Amino acid sequence: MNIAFLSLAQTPPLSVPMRFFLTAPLFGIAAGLLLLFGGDGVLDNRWSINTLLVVHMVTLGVLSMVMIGALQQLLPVLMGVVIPRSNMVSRAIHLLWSVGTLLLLAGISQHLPILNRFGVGLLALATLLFVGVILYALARSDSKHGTLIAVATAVISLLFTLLFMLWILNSSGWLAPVVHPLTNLHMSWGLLGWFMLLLIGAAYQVVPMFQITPEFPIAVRRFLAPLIFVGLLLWSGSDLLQLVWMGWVAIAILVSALALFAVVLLRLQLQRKRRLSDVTFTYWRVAMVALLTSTVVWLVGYILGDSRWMESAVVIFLMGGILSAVSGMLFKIVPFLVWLHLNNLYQSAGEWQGNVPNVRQVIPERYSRWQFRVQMVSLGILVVIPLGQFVDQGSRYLTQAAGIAWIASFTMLLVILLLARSKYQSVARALNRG
Amino acid sequence: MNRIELDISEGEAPEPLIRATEALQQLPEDSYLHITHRMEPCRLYDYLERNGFYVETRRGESGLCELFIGHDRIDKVKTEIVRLVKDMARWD
Repeated sequence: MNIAFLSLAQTPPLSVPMRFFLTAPLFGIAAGLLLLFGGDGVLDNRWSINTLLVVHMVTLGVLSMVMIGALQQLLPVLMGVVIPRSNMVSRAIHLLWSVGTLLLLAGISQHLPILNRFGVGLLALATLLFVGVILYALARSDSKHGTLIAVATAVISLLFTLLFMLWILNSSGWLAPVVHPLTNLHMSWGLLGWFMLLLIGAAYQVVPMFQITPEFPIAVRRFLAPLIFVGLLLWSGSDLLQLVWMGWVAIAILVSALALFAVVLLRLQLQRKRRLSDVTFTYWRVAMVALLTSTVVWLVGYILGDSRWMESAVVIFLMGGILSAVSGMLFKIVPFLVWLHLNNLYQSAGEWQGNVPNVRQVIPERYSRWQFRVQMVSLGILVVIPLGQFVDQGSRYLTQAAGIAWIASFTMLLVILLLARSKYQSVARALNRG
Repeated sequence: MNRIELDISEGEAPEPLIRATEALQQLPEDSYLHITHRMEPCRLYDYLERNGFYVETRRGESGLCELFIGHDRIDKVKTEIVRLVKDMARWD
């Protein structure tokens, strides 16, 4: 009897997601270094070069990097969606995305349009390849799970994010930073479309699997992602056509959809079957509270017409919401994938279970707990940075402190992921020798 | 015909998968396995297909996911499973 859990034809090797997971903390450390040594006002003004650099290090280098890697492994493993030529595609996307991000960051920091052109060109190629492969694979899948709808809308949102970036840079002589009316749309599709929709799609799978909760209600799985997508279309329409009423409809849809997701997930956590709490559980709880907080803060800023509130909302959303959920997810999916791949290796060698470490041995809880604490310190400091303006040099010291905490938390994440990979490699080598 | 019960609704991944496959490896030909889980075990279907099992997935009265699994080549087990699930709600 064939007892392997995954058919080899549809299982990308572990290196497919790991190359993305191991690159992401490096960009996080770079962002921390910029906060530490970037001088005054790194995060004071959304249009400053340093702010733009930090934001794109986090969004392109950390969050997108992890999500692109995770999707290429989770779709085949959890949903049975087959990604064609997965290893080759993964290598190409990783190279294009990493080099493209580096060139864009260099172009922004040095005011060199040529680097921006090349950087965005490579990112565009990576995006087209990634989105094309994912949509092709989804179209061939038999599954009707809500995750697939959410992933499809997320990757289409990534295309819109890219499109607005091209539009902004093309109309500005390929120079950044630029005060441009389309920046808000570029940001909305990136944050609420690409990141949020993908997080929602992943949550439908990983929350019940790893947090021992009931499944998300069917209505939420079916309609939430399309609703957010429609909200983003209306938001774009209102911005481009200058229709105020349409903007309010879009805001009502987006704010209630995000709040609904957070409330449903927090409720599911309360209904979990086992009253155990681990780092992933706590990370997701923090993420949902941050998500709710960011929607309220953003709404207040929008009503008051005060951009500082809205900028704070973006920081809370990104670093408290998306980064927390992504970090929590990594601490579950990496051990799970290591276990799954080792298990398959043993079984294809004709052994049952063999010497496969269990998931809690791949990443010990005490390691991830310490990483969580440091990341929460960095989040806390980031949130209070706006208060630093009331004290002499306050913002500067707080930004530097946040930088130190970022460097520490991303270094810890990198070390933990490297340990997990080395555990996989040592068991796999022992099996090959045997 | 024997009905073998397996409740995996309180296990964290990958425990439910391990327990389900262990039970399936020992499933006698004239029996069927009734699995109760909090979510649809998507990963199990590929395993079932490749190893010659027949499965029906339904929503139980408690709202949990219920799977009825037997050997595909044993007609009387399949007939019994179809009879059992005919009035149950579909999972999705």
